Amino acid sequence: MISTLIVDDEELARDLLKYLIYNNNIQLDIIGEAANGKEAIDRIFHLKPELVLLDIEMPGYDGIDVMDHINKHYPDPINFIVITAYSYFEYAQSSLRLGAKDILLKPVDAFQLKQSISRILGYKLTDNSLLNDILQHISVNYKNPIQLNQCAKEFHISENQINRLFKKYFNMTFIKYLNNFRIDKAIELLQNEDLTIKEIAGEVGFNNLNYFYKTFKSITGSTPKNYQ
Amino acid sequence: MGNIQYFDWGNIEWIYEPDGRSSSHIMHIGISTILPGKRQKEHIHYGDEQFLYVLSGRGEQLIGKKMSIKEPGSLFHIDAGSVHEAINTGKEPIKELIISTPVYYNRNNHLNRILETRETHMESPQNTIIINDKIQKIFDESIKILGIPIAIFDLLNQPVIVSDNYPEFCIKNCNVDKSIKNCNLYNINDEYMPPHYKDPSAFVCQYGLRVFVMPIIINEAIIGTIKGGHIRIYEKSQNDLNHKSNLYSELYNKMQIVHQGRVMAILQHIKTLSKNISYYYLLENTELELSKKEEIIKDISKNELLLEESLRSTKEQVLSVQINNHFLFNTLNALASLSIKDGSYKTYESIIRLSNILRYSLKSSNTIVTLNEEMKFILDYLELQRLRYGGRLKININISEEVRPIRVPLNFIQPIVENSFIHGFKDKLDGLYIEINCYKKEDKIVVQIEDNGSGLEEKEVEELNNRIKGQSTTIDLSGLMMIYRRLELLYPNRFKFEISSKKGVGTKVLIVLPVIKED
Repeated sequence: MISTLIVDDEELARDLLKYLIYNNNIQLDIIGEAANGKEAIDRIFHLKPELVLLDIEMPGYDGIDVMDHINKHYPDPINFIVITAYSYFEYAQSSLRLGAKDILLKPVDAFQLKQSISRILGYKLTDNSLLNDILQHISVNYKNPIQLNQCAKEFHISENQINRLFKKYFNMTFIKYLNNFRIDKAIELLQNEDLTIKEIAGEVGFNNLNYFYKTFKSITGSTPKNYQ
Repeated sequence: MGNIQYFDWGNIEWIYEPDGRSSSHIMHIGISTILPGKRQKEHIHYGDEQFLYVLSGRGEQLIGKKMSIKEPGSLFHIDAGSVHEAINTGKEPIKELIISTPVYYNRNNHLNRILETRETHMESPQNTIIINDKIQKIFDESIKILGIPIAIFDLLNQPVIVSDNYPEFCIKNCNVDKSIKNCNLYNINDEYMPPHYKDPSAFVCQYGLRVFVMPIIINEAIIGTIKGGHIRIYEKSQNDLNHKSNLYSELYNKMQIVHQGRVMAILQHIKTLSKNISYYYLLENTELELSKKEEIIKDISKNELLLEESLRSTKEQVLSVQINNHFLFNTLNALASLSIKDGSYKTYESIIRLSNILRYSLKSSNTIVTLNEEMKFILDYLELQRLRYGGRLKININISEEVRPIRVPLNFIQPIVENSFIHGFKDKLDGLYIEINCYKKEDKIVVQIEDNGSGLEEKEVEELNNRIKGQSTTIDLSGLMMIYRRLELLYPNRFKFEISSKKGVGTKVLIVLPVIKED
């Protein structure tokens, strides 16, 4: 669960975000709220959230000011998702320049919010909270060996139930999803990091290099070299 | 230090030159130096008379046919039009004071004044004007009048146009028909005249034939020269031709001796030709500049129009919506929150759809969107209509995946769908049906909107099609007409927009668009 701070000067707007998060099983842990820019900065320093849902238009210190201040004075990286009633291009520009991960327009659309959070989480959110938990488990532990039977034990369901969930939501098996996830990460590393293919295979949880090559080829239709 | 001109025979240092501002300052004064053993070739100035006062050195001075001794203190007067020649026969350079005065001054000439005032508007014509054969016609006419051979040279002394009526003597004796430069007189690059000399001068060849030289001047700068004549002024002693065969002397004798009056007429014509050529280029240059300016003005007014248009639409947007849309969307956000609080997810959904529609219609009308975005907008719109019509409305939308990313103009479908509700379903109570199909067919996008509304009579359909496509000048721009105009702007003659309808059955609108290339 990602620790999240909600910032908006309107109570109804903060409520809307909370409802949408609860109702859609979005895996965010709301650890606090703030009703203006100064309060937001204060809470960020105290609560150390990983994600801030930040309204732009607030009296006094606005959202842009908050991001600017945090960028300059806060030691850790924070994910900002900016929320605004305007669709001005300029706002989008300066928000993104200050490191906003995404921009949502008011009134906030549940679907857009989910997409945006998924982008930050690195996996697709579903409306099934059990499945979301498994997905989160994969996204956190993909570097280590993950076995279907251990997973089933951990979440107190059967292997079949897990596979049924994956079939329903992703039209693939648990193993296939895991492999896809790992190969996606591998491609990211191939393109951005200066690592050998063997190191990358290990980084994304493949102990057997041959199996990595085989899986890579079957998913992408190409070789890791082509992505380097 | 004055302006020094260097020649193969020595130099002239001009120590006094008119400043050009006052028409009474017209005299040029210089010191001419003729080096030992050198000779100023026979030449003639037509616009100037000259006084020579020898300061030092010895030599011979020929003026007309009269030969005199040059020695310190001797004074010579050379009339305009007189042939003169000087030779340094001594051991030291001849230095002489030379005073050159124009014989007439035409600065007050009316045409000249016009020419000069126009010239001041031009930017360095010597850089922009290059003599070329565009002046052929002017040239041909002059040849007809003059009846003498003439050639026009550019600044580098290369012939641009050469006539073909050179005397047989010059052709046989000097091969001027092969190249005009076979005649020695055309290789003299020196100008035996003061700088900015605007009048004709002449050189005389070893056989006594005269070649006139006239600069072509625009804005105080020479752009080329007229050279021509080859006329015989006086009897040359047969001795000079003795070493040549009888044929040459025969040809030489065939040339008529041209009397002074005719020479003056020829000079006048050459001057006129020079003037006409400079007028021609001046006019051409002016026209060119004018057309450039016209182009700029056209561009400016076009841009102004565009700017005005975009300003108008921006203003419209800013005034009517943008100021309020912060309030509007924040309020919708609050309503969305309330609806969810009350557990009404359907209300929330509708608020989101309504917001999407509002945002979409806030976009500038000339935006290009993907067909997917356009269809999402249509879907939101239809879902909101369904709120009102409930189960009475059936919607069937089919979009093939391959057309989703294709780029189309903003909002070219919704006004058609809206028409179904406004007109088609006006009197229909139940079983409302709308079908939209989007697919690709032979590199074209087909969009088909169909309803089962009241439909139109055959005549009405025809009328409607004509009204939409006709260049109607009325300001009544219905939704359909607006769509048609925008499509016409985007895909001139490359799209299809057709309405077909049957009374009591329904109406179908067929749009076929070419695929806009991705950039």
